[in-house]
Amino acid sequence: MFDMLLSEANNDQIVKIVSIEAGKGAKQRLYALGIHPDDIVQVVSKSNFGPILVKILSKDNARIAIGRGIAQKIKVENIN
Amino acid sequence: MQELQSGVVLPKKLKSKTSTKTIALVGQPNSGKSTLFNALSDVKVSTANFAGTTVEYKETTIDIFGNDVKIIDLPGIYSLNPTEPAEFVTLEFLLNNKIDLLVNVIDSTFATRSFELTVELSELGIPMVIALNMSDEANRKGISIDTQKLTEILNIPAVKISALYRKGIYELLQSIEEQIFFEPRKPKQLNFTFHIERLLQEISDSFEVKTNTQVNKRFYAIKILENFNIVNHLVKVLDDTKIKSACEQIIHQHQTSIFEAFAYERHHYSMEISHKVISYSSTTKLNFTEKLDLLFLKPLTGYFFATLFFALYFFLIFIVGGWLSEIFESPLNNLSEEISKIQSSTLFGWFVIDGIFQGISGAIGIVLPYFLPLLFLTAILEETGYMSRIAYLMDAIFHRIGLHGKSVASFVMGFGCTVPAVYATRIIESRRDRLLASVLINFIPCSARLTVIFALTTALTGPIWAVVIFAYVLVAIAVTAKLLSLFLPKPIGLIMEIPPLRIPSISIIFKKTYYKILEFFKVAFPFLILGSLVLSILDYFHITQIINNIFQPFIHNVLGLPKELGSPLVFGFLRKELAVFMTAQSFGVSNLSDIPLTIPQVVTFLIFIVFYLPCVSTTAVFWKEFGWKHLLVTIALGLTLSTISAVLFRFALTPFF
Repeated sequence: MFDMLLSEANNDQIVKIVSIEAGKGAKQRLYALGIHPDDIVQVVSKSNFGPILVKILSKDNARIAIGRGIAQKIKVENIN
Repeated sequence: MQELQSGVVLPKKLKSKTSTKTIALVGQPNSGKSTLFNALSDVKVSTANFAGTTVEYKETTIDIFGNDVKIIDLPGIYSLNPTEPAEFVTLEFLLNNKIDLLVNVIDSTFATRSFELTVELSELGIPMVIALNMSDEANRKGISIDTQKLTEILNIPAVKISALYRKGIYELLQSIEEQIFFEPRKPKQLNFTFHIERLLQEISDSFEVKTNTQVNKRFYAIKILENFNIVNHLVKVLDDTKIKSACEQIIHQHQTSIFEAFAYERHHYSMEISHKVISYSSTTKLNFTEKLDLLFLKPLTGYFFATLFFALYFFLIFIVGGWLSEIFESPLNNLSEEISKIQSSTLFGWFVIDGIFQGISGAIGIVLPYFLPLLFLTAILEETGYMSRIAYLMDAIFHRIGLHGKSVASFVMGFGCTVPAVYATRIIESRRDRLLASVLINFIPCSARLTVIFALTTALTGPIWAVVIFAYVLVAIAVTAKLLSLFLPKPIGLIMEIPPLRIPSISIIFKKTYYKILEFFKVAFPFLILGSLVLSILDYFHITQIINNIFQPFIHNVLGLPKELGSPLVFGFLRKELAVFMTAQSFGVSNLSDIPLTIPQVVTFLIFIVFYLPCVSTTAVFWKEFGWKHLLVTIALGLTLSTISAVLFRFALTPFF
């Protein structure tokens, strides 16, 4: 069950990662930077093009920039 | 005995009385490893040798309570399953060297995430100490870490420190001493699910480890299952079927890929550790720096500040560079007069002396004044963390022009030196994307070309023209990228951490600048003097005139420049900085401001020099990385772009002057 893709979330919206359907390399990198399924992230900054900046609320508030292509492969659930 | 690389053993004589112990600093990027390295090397330093461009780690020997200990600062890594070139360097180092102790440096404000690396490191089986860095900042943010509990869980001593303010260093040294000289503890390892542990046992005699280090065999068993490629060259597989069957069993039981099965367990274990040892007290209200940072990151304000900072960056280099070269000018002129009095007995001898002197005075009087502030300001941008904001902002534009998001970091590096920037494109998996990025990086003005631009515009045209040239270069690169990328598939995106903005350590900025300058004197300086000497000798034999005459049709008729610029352009291939003072040399003037060129000529010349040829080092790297065919295409592209651009400027500007 998921509500939308990470790329569709709005500024400041808080979402929970449901699943990551990217390739192995991208997945490894996301895990290493602290983004896993079940993590809760907040969209800090996004615009109509370019990467999306998220803050991992469930883990130290680290901020990770995720390219649009990869954000389109991450399913999330709205928890506002 | 110290093994440098498997098979390479340093002679014993070089080592001190007792065998020196080796400590490696390992941690995630921006965890403050270098700051700690810096703080430690201030503790009774005996020797310190720093990295050049080839060796990517730093080492120093310090005296810990009467014993020499070698400390190595490794590039930051997020995981022992590497996805970036720096991570490969660190992993290779850890697996090929005898290391007595790992100091795992953790940014306390990102402790939860950092524990995943700690868990992975403990799998190596090397004794460890955890340095919880930036503990003061964590305190302010209401994060408290129970070091005792952490030690209990992992059987690794943990010390709270602040490397920047030199707090807790003594306690850290005590822990290190205890671990390497008295009672090394074996870090407690994560027990994976029962059947994974059983499989690790089962395959343990299906392979042999080729290297002889402190790393235990279980680590290799894990990697063979999880990420075979990275240990392929270090193990000898004896029973391939057993390993294959183990892999199949994991996939079958977990219904997922093997690396995910391992990642999942490590993640849950480290979350568990984090829940037990970290407590958060205050709210997560945004503080001033975070609010400011949002302005740097949000698209509109972000681009505004980026432009502002770059304008400031240029402006400061001009002011300081111009001021420094004025300071150096009069002593150099006096010296030049003194030298002209010597007058060697033969004319040839005079040309040799003059050539060497011109080289030295060019390097010090022209190149250094602009290079110095350039390095210093770049170090500030790096140390504050602002560079990653630039990369973030640029990614949007990069996608528009069809470039791979991963290449942003390499492009930023390209403003320093093209060679490491081309190496850094190795992170791009697709060869075509990689080649495209490298071809374009080649057009980014590196610090040598920036110095040429700064020096000549300051002397002859005024700073505004440097900005014009710079803007044109960026636009030309974007257009070229767009044209080239039409033939390529759409690139995929980046995943990058945006570390918090930090107040930089002044001493690190000075040290960084100092070592880069030292490198300049070691690597570039001899080249510049030699080049100048060769030019002077060629001049004596009237060979420069021959070169100038050969290129005259092109340089004079096509570019509209005096033919004297032929030899500086030819020698610019060795090092781009050479072009600037060779220009003065070939016109026979000592001050750059006396060079008889008009503003359109200077601008045309500079535009041409930015694109025309890669320097000799870049050429070598290109050849090695992509082969001679691609090298030739790159050179052809460079010559075409530079000629078109130069001619464009020639005809656009000349009517106005």
